[in-house]
Amino acid sequence: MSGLEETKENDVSKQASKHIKETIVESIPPPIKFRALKRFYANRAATISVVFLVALIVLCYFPNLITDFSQNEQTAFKRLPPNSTNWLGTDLLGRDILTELLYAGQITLRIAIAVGIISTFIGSLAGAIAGYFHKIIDSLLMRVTDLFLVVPQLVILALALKKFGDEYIAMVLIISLISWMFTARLVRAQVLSLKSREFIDAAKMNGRSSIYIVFRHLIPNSWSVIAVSSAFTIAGAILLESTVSFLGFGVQAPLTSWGRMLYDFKGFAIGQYFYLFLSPALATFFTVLAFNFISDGLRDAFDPRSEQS
Amino acid sequence: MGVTIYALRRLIASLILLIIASFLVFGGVRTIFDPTARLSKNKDVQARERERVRLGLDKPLIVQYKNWMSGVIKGDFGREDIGSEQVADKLKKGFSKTFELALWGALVAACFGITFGIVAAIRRNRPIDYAVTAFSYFGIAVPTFAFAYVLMNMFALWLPNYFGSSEPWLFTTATTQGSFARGYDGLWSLASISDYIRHMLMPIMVLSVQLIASWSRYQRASMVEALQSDYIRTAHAKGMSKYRVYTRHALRNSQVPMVTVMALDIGLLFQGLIITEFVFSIPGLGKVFTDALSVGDATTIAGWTLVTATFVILANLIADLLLPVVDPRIRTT
Amino acid sequence: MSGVNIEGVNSESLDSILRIDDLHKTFVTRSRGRKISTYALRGVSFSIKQGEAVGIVGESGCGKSTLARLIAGLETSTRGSMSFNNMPMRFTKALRKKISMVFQDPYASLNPRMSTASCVREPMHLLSKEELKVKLDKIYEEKPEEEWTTIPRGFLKRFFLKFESKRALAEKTYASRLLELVQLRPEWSVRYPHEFSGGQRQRIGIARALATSPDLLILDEPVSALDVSVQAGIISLLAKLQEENELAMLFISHDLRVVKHICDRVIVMYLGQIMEDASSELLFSRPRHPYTKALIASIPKAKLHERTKGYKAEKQENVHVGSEIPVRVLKGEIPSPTNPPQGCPFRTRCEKATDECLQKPPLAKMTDGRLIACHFPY
Repeated sequence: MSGLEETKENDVSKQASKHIKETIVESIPPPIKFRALKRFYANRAATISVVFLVALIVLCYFPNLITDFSQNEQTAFKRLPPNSTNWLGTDLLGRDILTELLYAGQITLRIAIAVGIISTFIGSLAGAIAGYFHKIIDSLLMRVTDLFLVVPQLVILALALKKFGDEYIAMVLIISLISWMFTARLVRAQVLSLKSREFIDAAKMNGRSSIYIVFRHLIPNSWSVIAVSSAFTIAGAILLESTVSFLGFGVQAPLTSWGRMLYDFKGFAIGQYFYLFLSPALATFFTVLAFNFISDGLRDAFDPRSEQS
Repeated sequence: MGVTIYALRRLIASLILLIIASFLVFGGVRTIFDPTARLSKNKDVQARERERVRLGLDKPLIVQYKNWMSGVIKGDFGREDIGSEQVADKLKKGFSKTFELALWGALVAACFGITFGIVAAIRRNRPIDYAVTAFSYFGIAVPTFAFAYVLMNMFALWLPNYFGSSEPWLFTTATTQGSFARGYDGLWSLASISDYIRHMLMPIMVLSVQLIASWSRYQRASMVEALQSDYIRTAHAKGMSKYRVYTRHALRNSQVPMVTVMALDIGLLFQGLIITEFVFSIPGLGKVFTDALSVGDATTIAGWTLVTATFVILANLIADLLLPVVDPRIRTT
Repeated sequence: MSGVNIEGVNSESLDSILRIDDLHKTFVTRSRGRKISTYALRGVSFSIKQGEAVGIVGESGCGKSTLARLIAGLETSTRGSMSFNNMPMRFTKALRKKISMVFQDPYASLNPRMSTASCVREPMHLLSKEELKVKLDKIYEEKPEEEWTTIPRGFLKRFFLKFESKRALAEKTYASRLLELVQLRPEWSVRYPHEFSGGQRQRIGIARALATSPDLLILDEPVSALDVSVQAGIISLLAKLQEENELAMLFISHDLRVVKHICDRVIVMYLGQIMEDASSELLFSRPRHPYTKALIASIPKAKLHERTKGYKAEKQENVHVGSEIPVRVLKGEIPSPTNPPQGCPFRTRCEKATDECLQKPPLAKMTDGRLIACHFPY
């Protein structure tokens, strides 16, 4: 092949590609990056919640950033009201409440986030499979959900903890086991609506397996639902943990969580030492609130239609 | 005809659900709690075995369940494992206290929840809507027991102290004889009614705060959806009065999802009862449960769960039967 | 094709790529405890030759889409047989490679969470290593120095690019080439469906359908969801692709004008049955079946002539669509497919209907080669 011909060929191919580029009548709009993220940040409550939670997690794992004390350290010889050294006061044994609160927060957050991950995993998988196969597995899932609705969550949790209660790992597993149904129901509904879309037909036509369709098509398209429900599940897990610990069936000493602190300070709940009880209660409240705000913020960010309803 | 068949089918499905749930709970508590465990250190090696035979624990689980269930049908829930009281009596005693509280709680929650939701939906994006939304966030996020203690401090200590009144404004029932109404002469006298309210108000508030929050949220959402639909616009365009549009069209249509939501939350009500009775030391069903759980009384817990599960299922059954009435589109098949 | 001389098989069936015989499809739904049967297809038979474009037209609810889904293997038939290349159809990988489909709604047929390249690559797992290599060699032969791989946006994706298998890279190259074939820019392969317009998405859908070099392409109303201005582009692209690749096409549409433009042969369906089956030319110039006549008569005609073409053009147009047909809109509604009329399905709306129409007319061959199911085909 001579050089001339080569250049000619080059010209032809270049011309061809130039021609293609010119024949495209429809222009393509510039990509909109991070649409959902931008909408999320427009939501003030959700943004503040994220900042709050990040700060909380950092402080819980590095308490020395704001306190000079270590866990179980006796800093005073009596109960102190909030003051400049002990910002939230001290308890009966003279331990700094703020330090105790942050260490207890580690356990609470660890339980809650672990529950969030496990139950989201189980829930989205079960929901996707039930929604996709829709017949036997689906009715099975629905019956199981019914069963769990019949007996209050708190009762199941308290009963189960009575048996396995010493380990907080057991607590994580049990709370996960009773809270995955919420995610499963939401994901199932999402999958049912996705299933009739044509890209699923296209995948089936192309001989893709059911597993491929579930993992490549259905679950990625349910991310918004999964994110929303996982934040909501975490909020529920914190409340459930604190309630069951407060009733005395949850986290056992020497481990402490916010619920366990509330149980310990129950005797001071009425009267002048109320601040002892108030700190873990407020910590629980604000954390749960933050997760709820994030959940709603995510929902609005992914689905702008629901923003105002 | 169709409605009867529909009702029958729902009833049978509910019964099956109840049997499965009660079996699972019975099996669960039987394996979790061993009432003979305290005899394990007894010098008499045979004592534990004798106790097991006496309680019928040596038989297979399904036989135990059958025996228990045949007693339950006759109203005999068995004797508690630790102690000598009949479980049925304990439940009956607790129930009379709980029923009063639960009824008030559900009623208050329904009234306030639905009203808040409707008002917020009609006055959407106005201050009152924001207030309702803020309240619902509060109710969903607050640990109810902590809320109870805040209330107690506020109404029994701080506020009366601040205003210099001699006795607390509201009673935490823990500080009285543990009964709601002290013996007043006239049942309907002003004094007895105000006393009743002063004793009941805080437990009711604690019991209903979560339900009000969640129900007002659902009511608001479904009402907003109803208000945005085309038939509402048509009704407005026809010149129908606003009041009529809201009551006749929007409210009626927004009640359909509420029926299901409220029935499902009856389980949540029992959860709230456990906490409320624990905090206020009310000797009701919730207290029966927490006491039984702390001593590990399997028979009582099994009976308790069966009774509460029956109520939850009953509530859902009523909702299922009510749904075709509220929403004619739902086919009774 | 192997085994040319099989006894008992006439020459017409031999070169047919798809052959459908007496196909029935009944959907059974339950309502109020009763079973309700919807008869979507009631005895449909036809065949498609290699490289032939067959159009299927009819009102909505006549079973066009069900037919497409049956051939695509998305539903199973109640009765009847389908054969592909003279083999009974079994939806194995080998067969899925030969048949592909373009869907109606370009917004629903592409997964919004998958990049264009991933969408187009979806059927490529059906291709063997050798087949893919042949395709790649062809691409490099045609355009040796063209840059086919596009660096994806996003730090993580760029990082994982290092770990991609040779197969994945080859598939990506092929996907880019396919995008070019449907007149999209190869470098757009890293973009996501929501960044494209409807027409561009449909082009992606076509690229995906062409990935396995199918013999039969099913098009289920491929342009009905698009703007008219975009439709023309897609139609001419399809026509070009069909010509270049000798594709057999099954083009389903309710728009007769589109079908007329692209198809060699047109099948008119009504209530799950074939009414008329004729070459495009014959059908549009001399429709015989009353239903076909009515359908053609109801094509809205743009009055271009008044401003641009003048009187002559109008006359020509009328001749073109068939001047002997009185322009009339069909009366009445299409009967419910749950309870189709006895005999000829069209008799309830047909002006020629007599008692004879209570007997079902067979799909008979006429002297000019068309098939028609009517007792009074004149």
